[in-house]
Amino acid sequence: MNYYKEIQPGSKPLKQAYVALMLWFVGRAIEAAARVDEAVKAEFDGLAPGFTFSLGVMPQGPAMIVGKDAQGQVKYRGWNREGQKIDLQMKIKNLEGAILMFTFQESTAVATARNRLIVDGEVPAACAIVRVLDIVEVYLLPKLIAKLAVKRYPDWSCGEKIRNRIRIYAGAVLGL
Amino acid sequence: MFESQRAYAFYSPTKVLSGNKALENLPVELDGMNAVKPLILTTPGLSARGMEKVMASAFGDSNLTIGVFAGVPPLPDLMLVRELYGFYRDNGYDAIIALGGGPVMDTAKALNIAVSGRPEDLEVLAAGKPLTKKLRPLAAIPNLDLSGCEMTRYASLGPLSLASPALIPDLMIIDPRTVPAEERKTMAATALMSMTQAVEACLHPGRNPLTDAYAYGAARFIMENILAVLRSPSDRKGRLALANAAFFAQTSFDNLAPGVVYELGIAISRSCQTKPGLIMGLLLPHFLLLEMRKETAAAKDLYLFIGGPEAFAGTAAEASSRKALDRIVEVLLELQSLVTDFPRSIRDLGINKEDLEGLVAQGSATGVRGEYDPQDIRNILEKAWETRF
Repeated sequence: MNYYKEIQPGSKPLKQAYVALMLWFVGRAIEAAARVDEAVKAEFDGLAPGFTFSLGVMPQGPAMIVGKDAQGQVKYRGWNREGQKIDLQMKIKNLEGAILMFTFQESTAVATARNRLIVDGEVPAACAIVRVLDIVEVYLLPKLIAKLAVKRYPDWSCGEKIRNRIRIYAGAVLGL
Repeated sequence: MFESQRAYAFYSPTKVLSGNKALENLPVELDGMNAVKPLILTTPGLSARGMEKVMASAFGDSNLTIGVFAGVPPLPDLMLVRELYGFYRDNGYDAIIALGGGPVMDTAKALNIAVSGRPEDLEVLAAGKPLTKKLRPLAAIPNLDLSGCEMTRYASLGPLSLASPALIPDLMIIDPRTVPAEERKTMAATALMSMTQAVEACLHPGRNPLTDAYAYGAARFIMENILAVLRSPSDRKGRLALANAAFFAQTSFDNLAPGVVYELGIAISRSCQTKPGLIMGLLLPHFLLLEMRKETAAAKDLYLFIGGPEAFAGTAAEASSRKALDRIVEVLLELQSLVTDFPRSIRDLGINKEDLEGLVAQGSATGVRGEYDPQDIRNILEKAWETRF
């Protein structure tokens, strides 16, 4: 009996597509949140002018790139890292880790603690981005799911949260 | 208590990744070790249980090609390593992943020596000469059918006994999917082997803060999970804890000389084809009784390992070692009720009373700690032969 074989592992196109969609949506939502939410704006104000970060999946999985322009405006800059100067790279080690994060089974903080991310850049900047991601997830997700995805669910007034949520969704989906 | 005057050394180069989806980290970890084409070694049994598919899925989207050899027998030999050497070289592999227990790890360690230098290096190492070449990356993915040496510097291949710190795996992954439920007897044997390694590390005169930490982790994980896993083998969390305990116990064991129960368990298992862990379980209470009579400080500490901090804090110091012994006997009796054909004494294994002297000589000769004289070993063996649990 021949016990030897070579395997060419396949790909996971559905999971890739789901994570790519989520990254696209979250990237655009960060851009919108930086205009709408004071805390997100303050986090980006604390980062250097022109600061750009990427969040992606290793080895060549989907990614999102977000950065500040010359005027300090936060912009979603697509998924292609080529030609972009990235100050902070947050890389999820594999697609399954990304699925755990983007199906909200693990929060960003928990995923980091469980060794699912590699951070290439300044740690304070990475902490600021994790806080931004937490805030954006609170806006994007219903409370029941957001509680799973963030470290601490904030105590915001209902009216403000709904107003900002509508503006962030409009920004993320329609680009308004 | 930390004793500044006692110098110690501890070595454990293995990176451990444990938990849900830990297996998916393999491509990134291999990349970190400059490896892009691993060869996976496993057994026909594990392959038939779908482990190849699990591995292929873990490498999904990695763009890597993986080789699989799913034919490691229970007693691998030099011929197999020579055959694998050719396969490894001809196909350009650059790392080895051992998926499974003792025979797979022994083969992987031996193959790693061969492919990192020449196959003749195996005989060189077995003759006691050190390895001169740095070995290729080796990852271990253990299950719950273990020999007790997988994560250590030791390997054996037919007549060759190999020992070198370079043989310790670089990476170990413990993932719920690769720690399937085994037969109850197999899991009991693995847990009792780990328990023996942890207990002997705690009582070892060369113990140090790090061997203590590993032995404590191993003992707590085993005591908290062994009965739950044996009652319900589908307990994923418990199985993962036992696999972690095996790593802790082996790392502690690897940094100390093998203990008397371990050595005797291995020696007896050679003559009766019974899993050494089960035999160690039968010997351990008699060894502890002997230790208890010596009234050493280490014997009093043992209940912290076996009973946990709360039980230990609530027990008078003079009753502590007795409590540890009682708890281990309780667990052993419970395991015997859960596992069919668990031997009740070493007499049940077909060992004759006149065979004991040969074992005493073997035990005294093979690396057993200096403070055990042949009379102590004889005492343990006679009690284990006479007593039926």
